[in-house]
Amino acid sequence: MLFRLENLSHQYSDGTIALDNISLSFSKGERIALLGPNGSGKTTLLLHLIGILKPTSGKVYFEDKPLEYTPKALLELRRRVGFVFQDPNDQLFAPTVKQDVAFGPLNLGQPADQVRKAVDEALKLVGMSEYAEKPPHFLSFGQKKRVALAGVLAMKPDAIILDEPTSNLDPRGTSEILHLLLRLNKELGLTLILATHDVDMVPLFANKLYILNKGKLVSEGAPAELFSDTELIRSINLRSPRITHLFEVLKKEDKLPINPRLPLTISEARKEILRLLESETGEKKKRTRT
Amino acid sequence: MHIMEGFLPHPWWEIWFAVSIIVVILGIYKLKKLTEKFPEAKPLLAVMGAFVFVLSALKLPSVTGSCSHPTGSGLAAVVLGPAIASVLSAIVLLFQALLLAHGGLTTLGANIFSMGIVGPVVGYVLWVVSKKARLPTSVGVFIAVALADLSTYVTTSLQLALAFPSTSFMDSFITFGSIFAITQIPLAIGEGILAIFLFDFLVKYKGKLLSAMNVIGLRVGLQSQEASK
Amino acid sequence: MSHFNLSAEIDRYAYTNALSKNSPVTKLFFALSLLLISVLSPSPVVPITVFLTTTVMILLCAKIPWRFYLRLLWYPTVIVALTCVIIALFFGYLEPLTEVNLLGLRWTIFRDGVATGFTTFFRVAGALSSQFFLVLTTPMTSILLILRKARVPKIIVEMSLLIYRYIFVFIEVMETMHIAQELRLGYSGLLKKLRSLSMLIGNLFIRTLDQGERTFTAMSARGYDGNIRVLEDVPKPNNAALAGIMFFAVALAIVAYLTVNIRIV
Repeated sequence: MLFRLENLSHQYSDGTIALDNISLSFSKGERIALLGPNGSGKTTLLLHLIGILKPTSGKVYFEDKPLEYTPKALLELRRRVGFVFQDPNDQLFAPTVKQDVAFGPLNLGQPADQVRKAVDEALKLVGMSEYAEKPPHFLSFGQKKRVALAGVLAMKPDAIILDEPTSNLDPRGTSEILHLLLRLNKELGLTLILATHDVDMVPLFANKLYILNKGKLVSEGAPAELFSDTELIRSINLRSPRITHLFEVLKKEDKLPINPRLPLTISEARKEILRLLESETGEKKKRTRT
Repeated sequence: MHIMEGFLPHPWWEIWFAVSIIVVILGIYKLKKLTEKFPEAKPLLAVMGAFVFVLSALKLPSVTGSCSHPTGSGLAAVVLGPAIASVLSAIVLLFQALLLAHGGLTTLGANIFSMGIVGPVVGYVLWVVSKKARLPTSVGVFIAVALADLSTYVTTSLQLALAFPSTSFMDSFITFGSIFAITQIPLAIGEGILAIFLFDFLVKYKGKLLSAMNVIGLRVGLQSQEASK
Repeated sequence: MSHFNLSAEIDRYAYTNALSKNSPVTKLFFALSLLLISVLSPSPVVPITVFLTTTVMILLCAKIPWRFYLRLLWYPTVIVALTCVIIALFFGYLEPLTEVNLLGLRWTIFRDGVATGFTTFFRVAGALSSQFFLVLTTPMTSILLILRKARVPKIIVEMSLLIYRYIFVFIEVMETMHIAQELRLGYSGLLKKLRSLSMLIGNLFIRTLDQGERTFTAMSARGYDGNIRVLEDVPKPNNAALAGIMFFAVALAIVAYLTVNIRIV
């Protein structure tokens, strides 16, 4: 287990209960999505994983050992687990892209040559090499987001946590980030944990889904399972992926013989349509024969 | 009240540099100790510096149609104490010189002296006195900030009068002072009022950190606020 | 409504001008030595030479559009010219130059007042154009790196790089908020204007405090321990260029010495 949360609760100093008795565990190599409406406690949960927030009660385990909150232990934890914040302006503080990406590795005390190499590699991975000397305010939002990711990649982590990685991105930016993340997971074996309310993106990305609402863990499982519970999804102010919704309507209103497991992505939908068409023509053939 | 690049003749710009650098070094020392103890103070102070810069890039409508803007140093002094305010002002003044052409490099010393030292010291002293006199916080903030502004402009007039004496130093001082008064007096009042609101926000949002940082000015303010409750 | 554009444009030219790839140390050395000579020179001859040299460099070598350069010069020129006229009219007492009729009053203008006015005006012109050369050709990021190399106290450099970054974040925030207010007619009439402006400043301030905290969190997540470490990559200056500048500076200093007694009036 990479992370395990045991009865985790967090109450902010103003009295709001942000997390309420959450227990869950994340395995290595997984692509995990935390789905929930705004204010459901996703970010608060993520900040506990890297020890920025301390639980009010309950425990956080990293590789089956309880988190230690000493500066040394936290530095090691944050080397192994990177965090990409929702607003890249929070994260990019240095005057140039290169300086910013170098910040993490330098904090680990690596020698300058090694840091330079790590910076170059990370920028190449996210496709931002040519912007190395530019100040962040010359970049678009999507580019800033990729630089923020590079800043974390340069620390060579085992896992990356991303808070709303696709919010405020245009469709192209969204798909670029998504493909980049999938590639990192596949090629480098990085564990990815992300918080989002973008339901259309979840089935494309995650193999494990957790649904949070009002600080409580509502449900967990494979995305396909969870999204088939449309009542639950709607009750917490989320919706199914558009494509799933379409098939739900076709099934309910138009009585089409659609699989009970509704398609979540375009490629699944395509298969289902082809299946429907095939069985349709098959039946026609049957009818003409009789 | 920025003195423009090149406006002060030799040896005046050097003299003001020498005077200011002593205070700034003291401020650097204090700032270093503060940020060692509270790493979160570094980004907080920096964003406040950036805020002052952006504020100064705003043209406020003023009587003469010329461009005047708040200095922010009075409030910084009330919150952070004059030593740290002087360092922060020095950095902001450098950026104003480079990115706005407000003030200059050789006149940096003179500008730090008027805006980063005299203003904050006057503001801070008045703030502490007004707390001792148990004046309401908003009145204290207004007096401190407005008079910090005025003292800045008086200092600038003085610096110019010293560098450009007419028949007498006094003549020249009065000439410069009365020209600046047209824009600076309304501005000081405006900044004083604005500071009341900003101080309120500051205590509401960052009171805990700032009083933990043991910044005397704010502690005085917080205590009296609690006492009045 | 503001100088936001000015800062953003100065900053953009610093990264994109034709001299942006040249060694920042050379440019800094050039700008600062001309600046110092202008300010120290007693006669107007040297500052005028400096003004012409730097202006040529800015327009022809760095290829900054002359319209932008003029816009940059415009505001300081008006202010300095006004102030220098005041000095010329009111500040002399030694040697009467002429008398004018001012609103029925006879007013004596003195030679030394006028001389001080002229000298000051040209000193500002020379110094200011040197400063403009620096900021228009040298990216702020390089200047900050040089400060670090020059052993300016670390805390100053660290604060400066954070401030530089967040100036542009806040300019963006401020512009968005300003447009939002303007769309709702928040700037029609002086009173409304003042109210909108103070709301804008208040909102930005809250945002500022918030930003301080979030930046700290994000920095902590990457192992911030109170020190901001940076890679030091300053391109090496060209020795020949440095020697050339040195030669020019010495020549100007000699001219300054020889022209001590030259007066315009």
